[in-house]
Amino acid sequence: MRAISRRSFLKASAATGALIASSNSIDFNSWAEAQEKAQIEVKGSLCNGCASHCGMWVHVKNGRAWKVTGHEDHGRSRGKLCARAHGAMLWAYDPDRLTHPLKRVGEDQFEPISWDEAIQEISQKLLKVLDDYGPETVFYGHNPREHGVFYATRFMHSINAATIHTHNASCNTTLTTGYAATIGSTPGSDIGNSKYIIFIGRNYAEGIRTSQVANLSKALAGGAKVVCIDPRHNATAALADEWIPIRPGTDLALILAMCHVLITENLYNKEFIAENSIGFQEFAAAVVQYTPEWAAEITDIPADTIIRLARELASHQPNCVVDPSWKGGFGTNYINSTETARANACLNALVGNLGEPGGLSFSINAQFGSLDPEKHPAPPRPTTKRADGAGVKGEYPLAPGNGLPHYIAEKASKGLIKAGIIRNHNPARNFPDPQHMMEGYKSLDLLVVVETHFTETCMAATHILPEPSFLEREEIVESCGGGRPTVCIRNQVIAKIHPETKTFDEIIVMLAEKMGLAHYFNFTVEDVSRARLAPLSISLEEMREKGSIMLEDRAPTGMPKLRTNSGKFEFYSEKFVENGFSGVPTWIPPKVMPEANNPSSFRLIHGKQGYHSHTATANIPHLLQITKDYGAERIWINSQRAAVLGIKDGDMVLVKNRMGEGKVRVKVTQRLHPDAVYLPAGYGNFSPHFKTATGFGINTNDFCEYQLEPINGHAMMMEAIVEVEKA
Amino acid sequence: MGTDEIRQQVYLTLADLLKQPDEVMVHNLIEGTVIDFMAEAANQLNYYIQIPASLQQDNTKQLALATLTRDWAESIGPFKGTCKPIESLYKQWTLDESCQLPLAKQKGWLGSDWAWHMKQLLEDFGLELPQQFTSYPDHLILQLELMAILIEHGHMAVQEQFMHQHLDWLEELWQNSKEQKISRFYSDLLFLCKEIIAADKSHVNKVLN
Repeated sequence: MRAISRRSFLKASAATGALIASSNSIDFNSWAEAQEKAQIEVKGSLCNGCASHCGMWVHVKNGRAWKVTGHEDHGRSRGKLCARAHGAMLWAYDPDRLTHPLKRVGEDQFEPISWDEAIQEISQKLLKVLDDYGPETVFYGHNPREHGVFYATRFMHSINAATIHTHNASCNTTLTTGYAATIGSTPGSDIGNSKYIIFIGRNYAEGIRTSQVANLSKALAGGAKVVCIDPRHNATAALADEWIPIRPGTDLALILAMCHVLITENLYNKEFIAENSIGFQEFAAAVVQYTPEWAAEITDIPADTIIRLARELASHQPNCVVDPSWKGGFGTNYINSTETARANACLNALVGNLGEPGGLSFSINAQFGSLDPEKHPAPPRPTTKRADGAGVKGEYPLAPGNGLPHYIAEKASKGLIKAGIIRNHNPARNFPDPQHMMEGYKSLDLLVVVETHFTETCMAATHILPEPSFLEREEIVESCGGGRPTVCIRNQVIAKIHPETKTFDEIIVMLAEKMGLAHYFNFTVEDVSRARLAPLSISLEEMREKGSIMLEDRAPTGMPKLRTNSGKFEFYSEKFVENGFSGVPTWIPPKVMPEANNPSSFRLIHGKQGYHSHTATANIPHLLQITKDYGAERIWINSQRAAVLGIKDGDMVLVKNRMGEGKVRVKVTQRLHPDAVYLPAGYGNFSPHFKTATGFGINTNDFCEYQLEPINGHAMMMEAIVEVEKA
Repeated sequence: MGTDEIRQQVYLTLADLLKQPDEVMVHNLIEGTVIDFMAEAANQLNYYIQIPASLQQDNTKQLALATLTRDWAESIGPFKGTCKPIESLYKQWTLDESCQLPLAKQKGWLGSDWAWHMKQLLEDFGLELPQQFTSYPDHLILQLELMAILIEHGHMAVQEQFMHQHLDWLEELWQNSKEQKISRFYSDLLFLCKEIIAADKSHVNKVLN
């Protein structure tokens, strides 16, 4: 008999026998018992379950994450965490994580390669693209958080490339543009101190930060009246005094009519307007036509209700607010959303609530230091044009620097953009028309995706570079703005699990070294953090130990100096006029409407759930189980409309339009405006590597066309009409 | 060969078959030497094992390295494998009641108690954890190789304890291989592992009693 084994991974030595004989850990049960006695260490860090980066305490036992609790000294968590924080802890131990660099070798075919090979190939290709086509054909995309912003910006500047985009064109670009034109920045709401609050499409109770829910609870406990205006009776409406269903896409008409009432009834804050604004007369003249009766026809809200809301708001001024929203009611949803944001700013200005308790609030950030420019010279700012037309004359000059990822896909398909790097961001799934996005990305000569998991965007990559999970990496010190700013850090709380993963800073430095740009990266992550902390008299050691520190600085109250051209509130925008748009907010009807005589025709609207972040968390089994337990993937349909179509609660329905079709269970409810069907936004993954999420639920982006809003190019994600029928 | 030497070689051969195929392995499979050895070893050890048909020479003589490598990668390989032979994935993540992570009492996650215990054992025995197994020291390949070392150097009671505590998940692994519809060759190989280890457990129990 001949043994035929080849080689062994384990190499015994002469001492092995003695070591086995003397070992006292061979019995698992005894070992486990001893392990149980170990102390639990508590380490401060930052969550990655969504983009908020809430402060958290990670409890660690024997080198393993053991539990997580909210950090009390962080402005966004204030001692509380949501379900996503608990779910996100599991990413570290997920067997389906990316563990090695991968290279595309065919359609949907990837093979592992070494880091040396990956960096060599990427740098060579990037240099060739820069040489052949120039920096204007290269982009970087991410969900912008400070570590990525710092390293990516420096890297892009070092290659003289200006196109850094974020996810915001599918989120809140409208708000950024609308508020920049009127106030100069995007304010928050001092909800906790407000006496009268109107939410238009905003849904704190299923939104993104636990501190916002705490603020709302404080307002309710303090006797504030809360009005929720939304096509859907959402979780915030359940807490509110009043829910007013509105026809989707018509928030602008409501707001303009409320402005009309405030002005025509002389209820607005004349002193504030006189001292702090420009362009009021033009605005007042423009809104004369927007009567409550006019708006009632459009919004499906009775004129009396519109008048009452305006009067109630005025009677509480200045301690009242119409929340600026975010993605909700007038995020990147409709062709009129930018104008809605601008009009909403005007409505708040009319009640003079800027910087007032309970009104619009202005946050402050920690005043960080920076690296010594003598020792660590930064690359000059790029001299080239953006590739995505954001801020570019003739394209989308009013689009903010967040950029336009969906437009990049179009330009890539046309061969106008050649290379990109995307990190921790999944535009292939989270922008409308995945086919459009995938085709664009697959047209690129180079697409590097830096990720922890194999997302839909990875499917289009030429190279995929694996990062450690957020528990396994330290990032640079961050500032979290607010009434009191928080300084915080993502600590490495457990050892790296997969040795072939590398942090984003390591990846950027490797690339820079290979491309002859190392002189811009002659520092460590620790150096950056120490430089940032220097003016605050906080050592990095203290920062690491505490995780989050809320500073004593407080945002000033009262009317701040605004960052507009005039330094005042601008009812009239010269910049809008210069670019061919109306100087004051005016009515723009939605781009598309359901067919009036077709009982199957609906506008498809969507929204967040408090236990999912876009499509990033549906693959976490515990979070998806919440969805399954509550049937929360169901599409909502109005009861009366459902009855006409013979659809009963729990039926499977077919949702279709010319973009595609999908089947999903239905929730028949009176809690929805008859014109709309509502789909929760966190489902419909199609990456074959998401074993839990893929194939579960349907996604609104599969029914929405690739389109660009005229003012700033956002994605208009609720300009989609579908037909619904019993499956 | 004595009984323990045969047993040791059986474990090493099984571990070998689970590794990424190379030309030597494919040659041995085509020539039938691997399965001849396993059959003869089972015979000498009085282990009543049915060698699955797909592993027998009639079926392995057509094997090609490229095909077997693809099957390995998609079945049990570290990147694309849908049935990774890692103990943690088949056992409760921790028995420690103080853990409050949602995965604490569930299966399917890396880095469980079992992985950390394996790491501890390798450290205690002076055995270096190979770099490619850093993420999962409880991979079946390492466990089979460790069994071979325990047979050579350890008391029978130590072997019995290790098998009892760390090689008790192979039925679920094999069942999963069928659910995942991995290649017949690798599913049958996991079946063979399961059967041989079950027979070896009985042997060890008999010796100890």
